[in-house]
Amino acid sequence: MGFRMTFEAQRMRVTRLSAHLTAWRNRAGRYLGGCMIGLLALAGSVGVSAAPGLPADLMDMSLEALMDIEITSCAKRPQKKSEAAAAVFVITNEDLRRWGVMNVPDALRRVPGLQVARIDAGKWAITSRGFNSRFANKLLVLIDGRSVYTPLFAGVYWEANEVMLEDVERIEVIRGPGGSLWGANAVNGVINIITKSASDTQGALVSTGVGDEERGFASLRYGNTTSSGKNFRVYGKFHSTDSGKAIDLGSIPPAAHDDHEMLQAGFRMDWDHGHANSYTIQGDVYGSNSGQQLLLASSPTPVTEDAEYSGGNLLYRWTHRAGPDSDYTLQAYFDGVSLKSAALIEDRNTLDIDFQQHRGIGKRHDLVWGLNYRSIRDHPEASQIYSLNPPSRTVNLFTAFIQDEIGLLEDRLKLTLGSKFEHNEFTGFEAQPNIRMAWQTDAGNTLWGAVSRAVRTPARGEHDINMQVIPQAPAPPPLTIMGNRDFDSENLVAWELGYRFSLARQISVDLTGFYNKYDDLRTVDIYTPAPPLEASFNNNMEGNTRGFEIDARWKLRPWLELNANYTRLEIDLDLKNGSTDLLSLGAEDASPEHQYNVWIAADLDHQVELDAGLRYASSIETPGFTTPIDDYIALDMRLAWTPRPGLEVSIIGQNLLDSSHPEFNPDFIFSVPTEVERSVTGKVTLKF
Amino acid sequence: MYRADTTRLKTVCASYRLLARRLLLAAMLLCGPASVSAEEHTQAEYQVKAAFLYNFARFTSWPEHTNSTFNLCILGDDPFSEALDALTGKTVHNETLTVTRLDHPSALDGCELVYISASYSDELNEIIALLQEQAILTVSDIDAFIDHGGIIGFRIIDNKIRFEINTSAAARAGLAISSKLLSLASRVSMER
Repeated sequence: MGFRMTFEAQRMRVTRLSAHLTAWRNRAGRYLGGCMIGLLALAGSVGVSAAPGLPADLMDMSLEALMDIEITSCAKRPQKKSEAAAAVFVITNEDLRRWGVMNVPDALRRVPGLQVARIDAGKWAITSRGFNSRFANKLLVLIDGRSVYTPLFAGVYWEANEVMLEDVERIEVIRGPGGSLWGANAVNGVINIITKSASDTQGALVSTGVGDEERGFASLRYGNTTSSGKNFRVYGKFHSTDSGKAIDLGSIPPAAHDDHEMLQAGFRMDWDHGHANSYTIQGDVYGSNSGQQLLLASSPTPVTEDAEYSGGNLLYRWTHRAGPDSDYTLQAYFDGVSLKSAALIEDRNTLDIDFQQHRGIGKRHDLVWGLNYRSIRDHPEASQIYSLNPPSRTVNLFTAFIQDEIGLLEDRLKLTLGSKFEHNEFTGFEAQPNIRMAWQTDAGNTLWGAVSRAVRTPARGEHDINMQVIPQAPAPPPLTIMGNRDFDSENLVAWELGYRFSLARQISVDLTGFYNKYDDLRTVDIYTPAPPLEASFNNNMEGNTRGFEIDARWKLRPWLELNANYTRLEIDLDLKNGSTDLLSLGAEDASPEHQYNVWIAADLDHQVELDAGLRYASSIETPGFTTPIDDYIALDMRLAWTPRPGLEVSIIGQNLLDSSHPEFNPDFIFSVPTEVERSVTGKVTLKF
Repeated sequence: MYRADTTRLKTVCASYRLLARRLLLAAMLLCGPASVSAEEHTQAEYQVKAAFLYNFARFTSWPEHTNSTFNLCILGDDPFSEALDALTGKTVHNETLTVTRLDHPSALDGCELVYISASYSDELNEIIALLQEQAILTVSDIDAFIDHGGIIGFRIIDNKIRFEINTSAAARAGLAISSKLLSLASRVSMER
């Protein structure tokens, strides 16, 4: 699977975008918070006529969307989330509560355009628009502007990057290249997890529960304000997750040792100095144990062990508002990550410094630009299956970006031109330009289109590794994969088209279609004619993906809402002449061609809520496994009762339609997968 | 290999420095003062707050009453001005919403929702006492409104509108506030 390393420069752009996209979930007719929002990437601020103040359909916005409006800047530049020139989906704090999800990956299952599959109780394969793997390398993930994409092998350790869901403000998912603002590796999408300001988490919260799969969990938070007016919160969380159901793989005796436990604590402080300056300091520490069974050369049978993750991070952000249409942000963070297992070892420290400015120029232009420096130093020990040469390495990454959003035709048409320039130590300079346009029709509907170039820069492993792949027996003989110092970036040119519209007031629909043309995709080319087999990473694959996503929300009654989405994805890949790759074409079948979600949220009375959701994924085949993974349909339900304000008691059922089903298999590093089981969980949340 | 990288890096750094210098210069040119009048701010703020009032009405249940209309009253100086026009004629709990502006608290009997203007902050305790145990949802911008027995108080945090709720006051008034509203409140108080 995937070895990639990547040094993108991420951060805060997203936060801003976020700002923009915020209210999106509520789509059509809901205004995006923040006037300045438009600046960023996608956001098209197709202004709503020049009337001073906000548009008349403020009355149709949800409370959540209203709460996202920045009142001082809005007068000037009201913005609709629905006007963004990109495919955006926002999960709100309220959604997280009502969906009854226990973790971020479970919430992402309802996002159109994403492929989410559980490998075992801790490991996930999550991607956007194809190329799924535990080490999915074309999706960037940020938590409050901090990248959690691992530059060693690429991908995200979902089992170690958790957040306290009750304190999440929203999760923004942008499908398609986020290249011009997010830097490398946001090739197929960006997920931006944004936690609440400490001013919005005042007071105490206790949330705890128990279930047959979630054996026990608890989250505690306390927020207050210091005498000097600084808002703060501290939190801690714990959970223990049972193993999944063992799969009979034929060659390996069925067993499940994938129990997963984690403990995390953190804090956040937010304060203002006058009206012009805002400051944030936040940090987290965590540790987790993730059981797994590995195939290692040293043993004929799978070895059972606990992978140990630990880490901590500290982030500082200063925002200065020079005027209603001008602001600067300086952000710096430190992130330390450690992972110990027989197969996979990480020991890495990252320092990231980011500056950006936004400035409106005249009536038509909205300019954003920024500079970023990131230094990543790692010194991991060799694991039982690979070593790195050099064993320790410091990698520096420099990034600059600039983007101008131009309002045309009385702001009904927004043209966005931008590019990111980065220098990394593996491939040198990379430019990632894009052009986006959003046209707001008379009816308030938005038609948008974009053409972008994006790159997936090499992971350190792809350049520096010497690794043994132990296939699932009885399979081909072991393979040694060597890193390749000439391994180049994968690149993409993406064409996207989208339309958002409302049918009557109660129904909003979001349609997106895309055509992605890839070149220089990674291959693992075998260069020895006979065993022992040796291979190296090359850029010998090209191809395209295409598909569409439909997402609709229908407010049937004030107390009843229906949501539905459908995702279609087709992948065609070809090896270039001379390639001897045996695995990489498998990506064609490793993502479902069809997926759908349907869910309802019903307020049965003032105290009782009922939520239910169905989801379907069509069958897939994962590289290296001969048995396909069948399609499945899953039902999740939640019933919640609020006997008095501040107290919520709920019962949550997940995967209710079958006793268990498989969802995905691991790739490069072979750990024994397990099936996802039906689960029932009881939960109590108390705020005081 | 590594050394070659370093050399290349230096070249890159030099070109970045140049780029950065030019960008900074451009930035300085762009950063003139800019401002929006306080009046516009206020206008936007109260347009959004008017939408909040509408939602407060939607997510609160009143006991049975005889009015055929839903009366939203503004007591004292009206900061909303025409922002409330968008509310007039809307339907709340199957009743048509009307907006009434009142100068004196004696006429509040027929109101379902009363917004108490800051111009009445000095007489707040008297007004709260007057409305005691009537099915009237009280809302205000006055500081610490819910600590004085008001039901919903607006706050502004980080440039965004927030609200806090006194559930004891709501219970005394016989009003049922939905869990949705309570879950979004920045503070829920059960005192007094």
